[in-house]
Amino acid sequence: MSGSVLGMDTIALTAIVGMGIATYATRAGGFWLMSHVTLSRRLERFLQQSAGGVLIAIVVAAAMKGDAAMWAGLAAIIGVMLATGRQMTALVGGAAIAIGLRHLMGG
Amino acid sequence: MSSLPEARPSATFTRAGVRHGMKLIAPFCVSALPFGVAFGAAAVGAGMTPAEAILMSALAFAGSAQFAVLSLWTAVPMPVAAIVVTAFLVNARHIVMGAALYPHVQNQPQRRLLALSAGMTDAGWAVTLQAMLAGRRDLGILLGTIILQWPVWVGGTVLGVVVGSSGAVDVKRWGLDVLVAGIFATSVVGLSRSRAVIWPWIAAIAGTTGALLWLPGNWYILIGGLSAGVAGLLTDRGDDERTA
Repeated sequence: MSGSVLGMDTIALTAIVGMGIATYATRAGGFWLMSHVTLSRRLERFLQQSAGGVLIAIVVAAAMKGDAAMWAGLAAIIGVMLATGRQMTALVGGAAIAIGLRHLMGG
Repeated sequence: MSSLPEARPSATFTRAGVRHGMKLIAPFCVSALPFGVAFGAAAVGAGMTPAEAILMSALAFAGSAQFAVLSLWTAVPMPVAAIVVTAFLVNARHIVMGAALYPHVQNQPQRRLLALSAGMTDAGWAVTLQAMLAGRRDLGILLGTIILQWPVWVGGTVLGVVVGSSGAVDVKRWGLDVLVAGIFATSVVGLSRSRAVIWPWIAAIAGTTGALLWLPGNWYILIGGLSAGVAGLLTDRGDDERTA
């Protein structure tokens, strides 16, 4: 299957629409569930922790696949975030360190 | 009214509320714009077409989920199921958020609630809930946050796509990969204030590392998420503080 709709690959389009539906299900899901049943504490806990786990997985994968500039950048971002709680400062600082290192290493 | 603190006053849905919501969300939009631009540029860098990136921002309107699926996008064949499940898991927090907001607005027509929920972001939810807790029970606030945030996110994506497509952006040279990983790292730091996350996080790190080492493809995201969820259930003592 490799057709296209409005110039877009149908598989990519399916993935995007699927994402939209999955995301909407989570946004409407809380309102819908609460109007029918009470959200069980265990389900709530499972959902909260698995969302955190997905974030961890992405960071761990980026670190494992990344170069020294990625490690230094991530370490700086986490450090600044822990110290100041300022997301923008942390991200801009970390990215700047990575850009600088890659520039020095001729990357 | 104050003699009956238990009774929840009904929520309204007014124009003034919409304007108030726009005012409350404006500062968040200032910081959301660069993320939109970063997404557009990173998406093109990751192999998405401009139309795909813009459509994804318009339909999914979910920053972290969109960044999360970028690494899955270029796999051949495209792992559609993994992309959809990843989006669901990254956004699963919205279920809890919606459930927390519901008691404040339950007098509103369900059709309206289900329609407005489509645009509920983390920040939009937070300012709406804060306003409700402070006594301003107006669902218009949520609509106001959407009216401002959606165009900013989609517009930012368009800008990023234009910059990214110009060929001027080398994802690695401009540190976009570090920026994207960093967005998730800062969210993790934000969650780390609760002690309840220790075992779920150890499980997530172990599951992710194992999946990266021994499994082909991109199973690590799902395995990391599910490991944390299961560890959360196993270590649930029933009375821990909540992560908010």
